[in-house]
Amino acid sequence: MITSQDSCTKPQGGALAAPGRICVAIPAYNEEKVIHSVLQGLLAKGYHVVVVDDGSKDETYRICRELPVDVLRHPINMGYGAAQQTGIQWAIKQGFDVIVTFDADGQHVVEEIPKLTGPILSGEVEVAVGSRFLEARPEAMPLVKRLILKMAVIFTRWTTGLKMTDAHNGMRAFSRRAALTMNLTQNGMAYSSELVNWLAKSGFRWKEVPVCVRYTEYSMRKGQSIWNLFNILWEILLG
Amino acid sequence: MLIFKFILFKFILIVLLIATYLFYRKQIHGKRLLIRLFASTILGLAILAVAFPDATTKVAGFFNIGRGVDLILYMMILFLLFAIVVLHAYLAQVKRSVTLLAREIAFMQARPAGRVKAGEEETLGKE
Repeated sequence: MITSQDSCTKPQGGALAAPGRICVAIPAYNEEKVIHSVLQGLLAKGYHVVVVDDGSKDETYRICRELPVDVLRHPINMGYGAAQQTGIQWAIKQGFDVIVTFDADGQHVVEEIPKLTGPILSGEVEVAVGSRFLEARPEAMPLVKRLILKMAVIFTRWTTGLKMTDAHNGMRAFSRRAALTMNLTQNGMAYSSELVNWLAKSGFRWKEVPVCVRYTEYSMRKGQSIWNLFNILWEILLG
Repeated sequence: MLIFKFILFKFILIVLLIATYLFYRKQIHGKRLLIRLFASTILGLAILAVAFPDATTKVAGFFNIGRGVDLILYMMILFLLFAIVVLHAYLAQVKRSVTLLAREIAFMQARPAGRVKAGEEETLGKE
């Protein structure tokens, strides 16, 4: 079906800026097949990582414990949003200055992290969000998914006034100061929408950064189905 | 004139429905008294309607609805909707509490990198 895209394997420049102050938070649910390689990729670049196991039924938790990463586990499955929030709050507790959220399914690229953390460490912005649509890339994204994401962008623009090109990208970075005010309660996929609303209301300086996302056969199978759009709308309207 | 009264009733109904939705969007927290007052009023009216069935017909006549039963039906729908909304908001509150609790547990049982506690059994089983 779809294999890794070449645009993602272009060498990305930039030295790692102050890796010790950065924490990468990874929400994970039943990712035993890929979590090990994802974590190794991050550890190889010297990042501090915290994995939040959202009540996985497989070996995810055990696998993570064998690596030098912080591992947290929800006693019950609560959702992607809840796991992100737990990871972010843990990173704050541990005293980190910059918190990066990163997906466990191998879609995100480690080399792109400095693009997000750089502007925060330099003080340019408090929040940096990855976007798949800032540059014209030959991404192998199914047309329907692309259309729906664009619709989400229009909806976001209409409800929050925020000019974002990719509102549902899990790769984001926050300064400690911004993360401290983030008390989001949406546990599921509507978390992204709640986050955008928070960003709009907070007034924090933010920017979007072009990132590359790898659509592998594994992640596509696991990924959000199109019908989740309905789920998200429902969650937004009815909480 | 007759049609006006009917529209008036529908208008009131719609306003109440919208108010219900808006009420739902805000925090249910301090509104317990309000909810109970509203519910008691409805309950009181319901008792009266059962005790004096002809009265409902008169009220219905004023609004040109038809039968007293129809009036009760409309009010019933509104009340049930309101009850569902209140329950839903309450459940959302409970869910938030559960999330906070689960998060606390996760923090308490956190395994920081490199600090392996020897011989520690898993307290969290897979259901």
